[in-house]
Amino acid sequence: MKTIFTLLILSCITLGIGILAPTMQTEPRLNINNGDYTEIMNILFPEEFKTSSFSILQGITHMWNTDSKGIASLIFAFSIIFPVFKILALWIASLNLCESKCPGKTLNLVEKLGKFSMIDVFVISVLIVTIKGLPGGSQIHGDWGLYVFAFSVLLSMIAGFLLTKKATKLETQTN
Amino acid sequence: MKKILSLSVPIGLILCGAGATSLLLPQPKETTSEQLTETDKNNLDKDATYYIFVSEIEVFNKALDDDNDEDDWDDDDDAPDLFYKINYQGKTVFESPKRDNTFIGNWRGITLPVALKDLSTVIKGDININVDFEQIVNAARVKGNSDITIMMYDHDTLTPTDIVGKIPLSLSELNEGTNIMTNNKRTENNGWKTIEIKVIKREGSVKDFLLPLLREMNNEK
Repeated sequence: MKTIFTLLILSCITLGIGILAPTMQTEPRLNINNGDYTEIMNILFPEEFKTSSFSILQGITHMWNTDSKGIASLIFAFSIIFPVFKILALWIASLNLCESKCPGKTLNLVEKLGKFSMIDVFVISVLIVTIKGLPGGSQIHGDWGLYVFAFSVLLSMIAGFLLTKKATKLETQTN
Repeated sequence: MKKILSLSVPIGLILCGAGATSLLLPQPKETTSEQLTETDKNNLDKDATYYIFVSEIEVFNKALDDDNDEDDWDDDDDAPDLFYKINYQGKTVFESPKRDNTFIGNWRGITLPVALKDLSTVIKGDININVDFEQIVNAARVKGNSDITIMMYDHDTLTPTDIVGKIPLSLSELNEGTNIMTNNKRTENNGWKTIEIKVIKREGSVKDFLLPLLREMNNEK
C-alpha cells in the first residue's frame, strides 16, 4: 500500500506544479516574402520578439477574458477538475483498501475515470497543434510544465492500476 | 467523516505544489495604474533618454537668401538639397544625410547595414555582420528635460550652404511619438513649411521604427 500512497502523493505534488508551471511557449517569428527576418528583429526589437511562456491556468484565464469561454471551460474541466477528482477518488479507494474493505463503488468510479486518463494531456496537445501555425511563422512549443503535468497523470494511472490489482486480490481472498 | 477529512491531504499536497511553483517562478511585471496614467499623459520623463529625429521637412519654393537669382534655392534651378542638424548645448549631436533636389525631405530613424532584400541571406549566415542597434539608429539621443535646436539647411557645393530655418525647442513641449509643426508664413529666417519631429523613448516602444521598416519590407520583393 505504501507504493500506492507514494505514487498518489507524488501525483498530487506534480499536478500542482503542472497547473502553474509554463506549459506552452510562444516563439514570435517574422517571415515576409519567403525571407526569415526573425533574427534581425530579435536584435532590433528584443522586447517585441521575446519568447513568452504560459501555464495552463494563465491560458485558461486568457481564453476566458478573450471571450473564448467555451474552450476555457472545457480545458478547465479536463485539465484541473478531472485530474483532481480522479486523485481524490483513488485516495478514498486506497483508504478503503487499507481497512481491508473492498473499495467496490469507488474503484468502479476510478475504472470509469481511467478510460479518460491522459485526455487532459491530449486536450493540451491538440491545442498546441491547432495553434501551431500563426501568421508570420510564429510557433508554439510544449514547455516543461506539460511534461510535469503528463507525469502526474501517468503516476495516477499507475496508482489506479496497482489499486485495481490489489482490490481484485482482496475480492478473491474474501470469496 | 474521517475519509472526507483525509481528503484534505491530497488537496493540501496539490496546493503545496502549486504554491511552491508560483513562489519559485519569476512573476511577470504588472503595469500599475500610476504607470498607465504617466504614459497616457504623454509627457516626457525628464530622467529618461529619448531618440529624436526629423521624419519630414517641407520647404517653401523660394529661398531665403537674396543673391539676385530670383530667390531660387539652387543656382542651377534645381530644388534644394535638404538636411538638418540637431544642436544641444551649442554642439551638433546629430546631422542627417542630405536629400537631393526636393521640397520635401524624408528621413527614417533607422538604417540597416544591408539591403532589406539581402536580410534573409544574412540570417542564413552567408554574410556575417554584427548589428548593434545603437549604431543603426539615425537620431539624436537627449534627456527628457533638454533644450535643443533643429537647424535646417539647403546644401550647396559651389556657394555657401543656405539656412532653411531654425527651431529652438524644449523637449518638455514635445510629446512621445510624432510632433507636427507648421509655419504658414515664409519669413526672413524661416523658409520651412512643415516639420515632423519623432520622439521615441529609448527603453520604450519601438513600433515607430518597426512599422516603416515592415512597410518597406512588404514593398521590396
